[in-house]
Amino acid sequence: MTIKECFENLGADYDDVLRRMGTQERLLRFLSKFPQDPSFSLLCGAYERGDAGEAFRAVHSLKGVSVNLGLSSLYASACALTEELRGGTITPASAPMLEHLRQDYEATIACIRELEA
Amino acid sequence: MKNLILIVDDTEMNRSLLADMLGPDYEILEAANGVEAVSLLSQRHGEISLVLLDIVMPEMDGFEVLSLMNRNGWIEHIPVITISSETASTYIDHAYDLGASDYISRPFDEKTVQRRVRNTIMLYSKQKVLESMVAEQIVEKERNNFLMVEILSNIVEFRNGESGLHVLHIRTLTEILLRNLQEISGRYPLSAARMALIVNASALHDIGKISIPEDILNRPGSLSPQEFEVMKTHSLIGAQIMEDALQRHHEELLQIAYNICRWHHERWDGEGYPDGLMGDTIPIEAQVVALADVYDALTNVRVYKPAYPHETAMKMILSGECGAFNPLLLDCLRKVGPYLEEELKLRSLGGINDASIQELSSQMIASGKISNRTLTLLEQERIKYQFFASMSNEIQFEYSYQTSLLSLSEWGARQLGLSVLIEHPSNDAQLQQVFSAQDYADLRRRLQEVTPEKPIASASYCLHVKGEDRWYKAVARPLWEGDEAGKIVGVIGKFVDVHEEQLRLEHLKKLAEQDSLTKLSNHSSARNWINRALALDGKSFALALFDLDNFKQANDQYGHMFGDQVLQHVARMIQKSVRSGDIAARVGGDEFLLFLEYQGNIEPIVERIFGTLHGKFQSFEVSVSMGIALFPQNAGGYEQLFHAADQALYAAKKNGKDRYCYYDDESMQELMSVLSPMDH
Repeated sequence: MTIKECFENLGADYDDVLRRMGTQERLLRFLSKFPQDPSFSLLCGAYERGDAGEAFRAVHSLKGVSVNLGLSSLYASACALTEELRGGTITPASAPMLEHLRQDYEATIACIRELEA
Repeated sequence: MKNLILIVDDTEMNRSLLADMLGPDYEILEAANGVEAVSLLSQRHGEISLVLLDIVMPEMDGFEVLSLMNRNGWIEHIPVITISSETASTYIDHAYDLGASDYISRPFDEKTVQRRVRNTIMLYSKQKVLESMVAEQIVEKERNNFLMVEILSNIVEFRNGESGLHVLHIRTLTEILLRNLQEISGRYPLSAARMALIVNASALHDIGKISIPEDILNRPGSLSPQEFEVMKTHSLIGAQIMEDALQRHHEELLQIAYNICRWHHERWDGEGYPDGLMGDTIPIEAQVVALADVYDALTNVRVYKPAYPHETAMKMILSGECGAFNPLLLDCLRKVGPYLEEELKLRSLGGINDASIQELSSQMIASGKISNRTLTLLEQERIKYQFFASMSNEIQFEYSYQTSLLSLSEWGARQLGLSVLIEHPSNDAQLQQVFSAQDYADLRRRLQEVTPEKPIASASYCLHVKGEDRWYKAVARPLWEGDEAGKIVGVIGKFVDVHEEQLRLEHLKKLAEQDSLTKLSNHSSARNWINRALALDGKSFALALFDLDNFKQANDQYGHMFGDQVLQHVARMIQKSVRSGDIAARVGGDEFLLFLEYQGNIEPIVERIFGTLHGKFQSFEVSVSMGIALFPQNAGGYEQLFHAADQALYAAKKNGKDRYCYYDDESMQELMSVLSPMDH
């Protein structure tokens, strides 16, 4: 799979990301770093513990990272959950959002894995 | 040197991405949260050119970091760009309120990041340059103020018959008292700036005296009551001058000067003039200058009194004899008293000179570029120098320490048969043939001994030029780095042909040492020579004195001209029989001296010489009596040796003449000298 295809699969704008990144080399490099970013697992862990503050920061970070990499759907779901958790409590509405986020996240990881292959 | 950027973000990917985008142009520091960021800032805030700051972070968020930067004053010289993904305007505004310069929104755009970072850093560095330029201008203005006041007050004091030292003393005393006052009491809080102004303004305290008639001003005796009233008006006049100036310039300096001029003759007890102010209604600057003025007047000569010693002045002031002062100021005086004399002697013109010296040097360092005009002037000088060098038929030379290169003028090089450029002249074989290594070392030594006040070294040397020896006079001087006698960076000079003169000089010297008739040495030059020889170790010498036995007869019988000829004949005989290292001198009318080195037995030598002297000269029978003394056996020094030979000569004469006699201790002690007293 080419990167372009990867992005298309994720519903993201490849050209835009490429322009912002500057070089494809950089984009690839940071894409492969993405799976190592701990934000998602931090989010899950905090969510399970009921630590709203920590969860908020984690999803906020994830949001930031995904927007930089042009992963738009992941960004969108992260945004939604971020706002939901901004209040400082684990609201009931946040659960399905987290699920949605998890799906987007796993899809993204899968695509990136395929790139490296 | 690369600029240092601090990237603060809790997500490693973001830090990494930014660092990557900023690339090799910057040095990067990273912090994962506010606490780490602050720690790095406190260590290296002097070096950090920019902070990229995330807002949402654990431990300490971006806002807290900004507050801290405000509190510590770091925000003044370190720009902060926020990089949060929070886009709510409240966030952005809050960051701005806390002093952030800019924000970069997400997603990060490589070009945007690079440009913003670069522009922000450039803006701040230009700011710093402008700030220092303004600071320099302020110092410049202050320095000018100081100088103008100095000049003005010196004019007034000059008319007063007082030296410029009075102004300097008043300033110094005022500064010392003010500083001490701040130390012992908080009653008169003064900023450093205000203190500087007071010190400066103190010089103007008597400026009103410019309107006082000279007759009263410089009266050696006492003034009548009316005259004293006139004198007192100088306070109000001075104040008026200041007030007039204040109309147009609202300068703090003038206000202070007004206070000082008007009220420096007020007294703490209200008995002063012109307004009879009492206690602290008198502005503190006037109080201090009043005290300084009294101390200085007491300890220096005035037209109406001599100078009193420091202790006397202190006593008079502290006892209330010379005015009434604020007790607090008197305390100050007591405390600074012990080192006051020393301080007044040591102080040079004002503390502001230190600042201005620093400023001058930083200016010089900053403007390392020499102006075009300077370069042009330098070029012109060079052309002039070369022109004159080529015109004069002199052997001119120039040596540079940096390049170890000696360069001769073209004409000079031709004269000496050397090349124009000589590298490492101290080792150059060709040069050494012309100018010996010894002479070279001598000239170098002389050049190292001169001072900037008398920079010229000169000496005569014998050069070997194109197969001939010729005398030259070297005239040279070192070139120092700067004005002081520090490092020598070069030498310039010339060699002037003085051969003819040198020969003439040597000829004259020779004449001075000779007896004109016989061409032998005269007594004084013989004595000098002999003294030098006697100083040498381990040598044996003989000194012989002889005279002609029947010289008088020769003169009487054949006339003085013949007598002279006889003497010349004898001289010739002597010169033939002595070696070049020996001394033959004529020490009297017909008396001669011989001085020779010998080894082993002197007898054969003496016999030979004695024999040569005998014989006929024309019709005259030459016969001599000779006395010989030996060194070191018979004597320790010249005078003793001479005396011994003299006595031996007398013995020879006594025993019948026409013989020689050795000095013998026992038999000759009492003998008198033969030689006429005039000849000694």
